[in-house]
Amino acid sequence: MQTIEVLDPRGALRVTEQPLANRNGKLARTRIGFLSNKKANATLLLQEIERLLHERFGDFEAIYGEKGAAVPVPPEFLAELETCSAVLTGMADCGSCTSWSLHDAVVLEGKGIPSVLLCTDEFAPLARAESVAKGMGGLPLAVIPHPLADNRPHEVRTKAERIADEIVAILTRDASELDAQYRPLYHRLAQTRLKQSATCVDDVCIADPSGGAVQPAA
Amino acid sequence: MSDARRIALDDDLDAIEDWFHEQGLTDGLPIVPPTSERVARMLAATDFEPSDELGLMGPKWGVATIETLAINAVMAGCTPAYFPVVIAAIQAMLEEKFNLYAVQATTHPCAPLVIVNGPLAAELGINARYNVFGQGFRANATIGRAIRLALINVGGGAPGVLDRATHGMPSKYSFCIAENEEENPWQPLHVERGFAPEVSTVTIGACENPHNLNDHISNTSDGILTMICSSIAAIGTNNAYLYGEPILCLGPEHASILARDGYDKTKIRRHLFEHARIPRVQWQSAGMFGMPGSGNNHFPDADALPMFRKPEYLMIIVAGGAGRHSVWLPTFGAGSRSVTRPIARRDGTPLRSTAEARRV
Repeated sequence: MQTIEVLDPRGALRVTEQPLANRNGKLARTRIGFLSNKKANATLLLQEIERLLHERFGDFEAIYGEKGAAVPVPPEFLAELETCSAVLTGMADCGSCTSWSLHDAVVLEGKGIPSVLLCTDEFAPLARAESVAKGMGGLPLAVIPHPLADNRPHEVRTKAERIADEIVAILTRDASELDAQYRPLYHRLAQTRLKQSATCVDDVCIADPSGGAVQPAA
Repeated sequence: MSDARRIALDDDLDAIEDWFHEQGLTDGLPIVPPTSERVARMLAATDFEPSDELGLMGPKWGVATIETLAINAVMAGCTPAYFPVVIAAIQAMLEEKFNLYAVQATTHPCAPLVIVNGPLAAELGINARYNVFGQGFRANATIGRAIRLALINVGGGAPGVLDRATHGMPSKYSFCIAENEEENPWQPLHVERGFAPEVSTVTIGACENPHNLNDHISNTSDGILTMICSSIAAIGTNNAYLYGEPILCLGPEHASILARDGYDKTKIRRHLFEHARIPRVQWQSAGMFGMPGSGNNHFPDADALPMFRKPEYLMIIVAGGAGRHSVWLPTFGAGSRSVTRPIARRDGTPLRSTAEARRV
């Protein structure tokens, strides 16, 4: 058969790779930022994580800020976050909030502030794809089972407990090790979903197929 | 000089369609194969260079070159004369304040609505009357579709991947109208926004599907405005908490009654700001109360909360045919602002006719 030549409608990509911020391994007696977009249970999850971080390495100063879900962090609070040793930002449990929380984390990492994006497993592939597009494909994601919004307080606490050690590691381990660990994660899920709907194959779901095994309080 | 990747396929229409679908490069409908000849004809309809870049389109941040947009316009079925409108619309939605990065990825069912004003709308046959948001008009259908294909192919808006709309909506296939300026008793949208009547413009807003506002009986502004207030004060829309610039699209018959009774856009806006409100008790008991930017910060003492933060944030247009209907288009919220731009040559000079844009 004869062939015909067609032109590719995809826009070219022009990605500038950015490394993660260096971690110096210390969090005790520093200042840690908690940035909430006020999605349901986002601030509670951050508060639970703060409590668990205090248990793990004692004193630090916690500063909290709020932002709109579909916009970047306001400049005045960004300046305050730049005085922190680390920042936790969330919640990435919808489309536009994932985009802009991820954007904030990438900006902070670029400014040398180790950051953690809190997201649900449902939106982790979106966060990963967007972090690749922004040139920071190894950005660490602390992933909990979706959804968070309808969880009762004890369920939020359980989800915080499951990621607390990982968050400590994200904020203290060597940046190149983190990049190598997180870069390959959450790709497969996105690719699977292109062909068939929603088969959960990323590490979080393999570890916990019930979606968190969060039990009601006795 | 073309930068686009060339792909050799079997010269069989079914095979070509299959390939584009399998690659995820369509909206699900058949496309017009973007051969070099068709793309060259599209590019000849503008004086932009093929390699000119309009910006990066999120969330994939693909480079929106004129050539890439021409390829998508061919696939959508645009005639070359429509291409300057596609270019202006993409320029508008790449302005930072439109926040395409969020509009593309959001779970909310919204899409960039293209509203065309000025003489080019009639020249190109962009429908402003009967079935204005519906099927049947090549310009509306294919200009809107070209934008959707660019959002998919350049911006990466694949459903469930980078486009996370929970439900989406039919308007995500195509969403392009003209304002019915002839039957608009007031200034058209672009004139209100500072352009001369003879300048043709596009205005982009991140809108939901149109919601109907039906009143076949009222012959006074009181009746029509009461119906509109009751219909738009809805707690389930983003605007109830996140504000932004929702759009009231009045049918010509409703607009005519309001004008006859002495209402202009300013007076309508003030009326709807005051009276289209959600009682505080209800507003605080549900949904998104307490979200940053929501009404509690702006109206701490109000007994009832408005649907837009200031009267002037309500956009009012006139479109549609005969019949006593209007439509309401809620939007994404204040995170995305509307943008109006002239349909222009490369140097920014507004086009009086699309023929002017052609290369000589």
